[in-house]
Amino acid sequence: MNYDRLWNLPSWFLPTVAMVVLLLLWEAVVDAFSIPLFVIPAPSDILHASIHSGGRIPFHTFITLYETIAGFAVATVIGIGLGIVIVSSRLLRDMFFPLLVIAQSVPKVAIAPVLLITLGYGELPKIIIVFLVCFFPIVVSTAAGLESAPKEVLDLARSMSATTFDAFRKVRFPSAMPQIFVGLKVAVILAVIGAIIGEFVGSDRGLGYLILISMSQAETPLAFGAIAVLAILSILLFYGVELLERILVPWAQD
Amino acid sequence: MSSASVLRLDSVSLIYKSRGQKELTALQSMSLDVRDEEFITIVGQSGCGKSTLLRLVSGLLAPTTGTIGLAGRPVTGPRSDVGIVFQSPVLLPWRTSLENVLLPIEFLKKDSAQYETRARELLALVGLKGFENAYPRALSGGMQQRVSISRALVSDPRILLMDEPFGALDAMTREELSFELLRIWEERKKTVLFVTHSIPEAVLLANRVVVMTPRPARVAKIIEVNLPRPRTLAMEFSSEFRQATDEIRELIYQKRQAT
Repeated sequence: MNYDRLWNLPSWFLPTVAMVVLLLLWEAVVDAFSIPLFVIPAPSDILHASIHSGGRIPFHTFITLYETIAGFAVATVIGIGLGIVIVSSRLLRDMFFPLLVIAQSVPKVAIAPVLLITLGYGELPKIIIVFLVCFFPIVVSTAAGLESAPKEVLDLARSMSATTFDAFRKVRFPSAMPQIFVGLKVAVILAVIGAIIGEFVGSDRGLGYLILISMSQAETPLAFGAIAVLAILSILLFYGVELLERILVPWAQD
Repeated sequence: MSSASVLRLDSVSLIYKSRGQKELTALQSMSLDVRDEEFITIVGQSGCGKSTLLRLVSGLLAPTTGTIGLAGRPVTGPRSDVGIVFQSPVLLPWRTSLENVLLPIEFLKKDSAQYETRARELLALVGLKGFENAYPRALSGGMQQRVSISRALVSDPRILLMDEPFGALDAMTREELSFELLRIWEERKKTVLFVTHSIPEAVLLANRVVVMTPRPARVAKIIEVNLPRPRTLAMEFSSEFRQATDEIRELIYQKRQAT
């Protein structure tokens, strides 16, 4: 078989084949060994349960999506802001960077119950957990990006007596954009994890809640369905950020 | 050629003092008088303070002792009447050639629209007509360096400072650009301070070659090159060219053996 020819296929083709094969195998194994539905449901059962969830999957997906995007948006604004602060002043950097590292090293799962007690069971504590889980990579990548701005162009700006703001706006920040997006892509995946952590610890809605509740009620197919939707959500958010990058940072493409 | 002095260095020294370490003399007591529209090349080994010299002239660094005068005024801080070309083109990848050339104008808070004609002329001058709207990644290394030369000239500086501008290019592009630069210089008549570590390049381009010795960096000798203009590749085989390059080599290597 000529493998060279396979390279001409669209890039999604081979992974899709692998996925379909694995799903069929899964289906066959569950069937062949008559594994009970509540232990491991077959893909067809999961699909059936998800479609006939009585609107529960769309509802809880919307909640989780809202928490994720809200937390991620806050993390983006504050993360980029902190990144800028850190590189613009030695003093502020020395003061705050160690604190950020400490904040980062505390396991967020451990903070979650405390936040819930303080802030209640609504969406707000989840948004804060999402923020805490995903802001750090944004800060670090913003700082690294700003530091990587070409020194010569900054010298040029200095020799032309450009204002600090102009040098920032025209050189430093755009130079940092590709790196910022590296951080954003890491962060958006973490954001979904953060939302689920928050929902696991205590909530009455969201996909995390749906997974817990359907497992406890032996509705395993629905739990698997929620997990599948969560995976799709993560992937879509990731590619959403990547799409935004293509639009905002077209020059970073290879 | 006018004989008015445009740049004067008067026993300029730069000594770095890093914490707890002994002082490092980057440049020792350098004096130089550059006439208007003169093409000066500065040659020496790596770490001999050539780039430091350019940063001093542009006011990005302040000398420890001595004074620098540019266009009749002492250099006390960053000067906007210099044009700088670096070893790498450092173009901003999100800007077209034209927008990159206009960057200094924006930094100077002048109206870019007014300078657009001039920027287009300069791009045509460096042979990039038709590439005004091209992004850097679509240009070769040599073309990018041409854009950066246009950028250095856009604000009509008194002096053009070039820090090994062809150092990162392949040998053929390098030769081609050397002659391009001479042609541009003939047309626009600028004072040029050109740093290089290539001895033939230094001789080919210059009216005078400043030969530097490494650590502590100081001027070993200033050599006049009296080859006629316009310079050609054939001159590299002339006896005068060979004499000059031999003399420079001797100055540089002799010093190295001595230390």
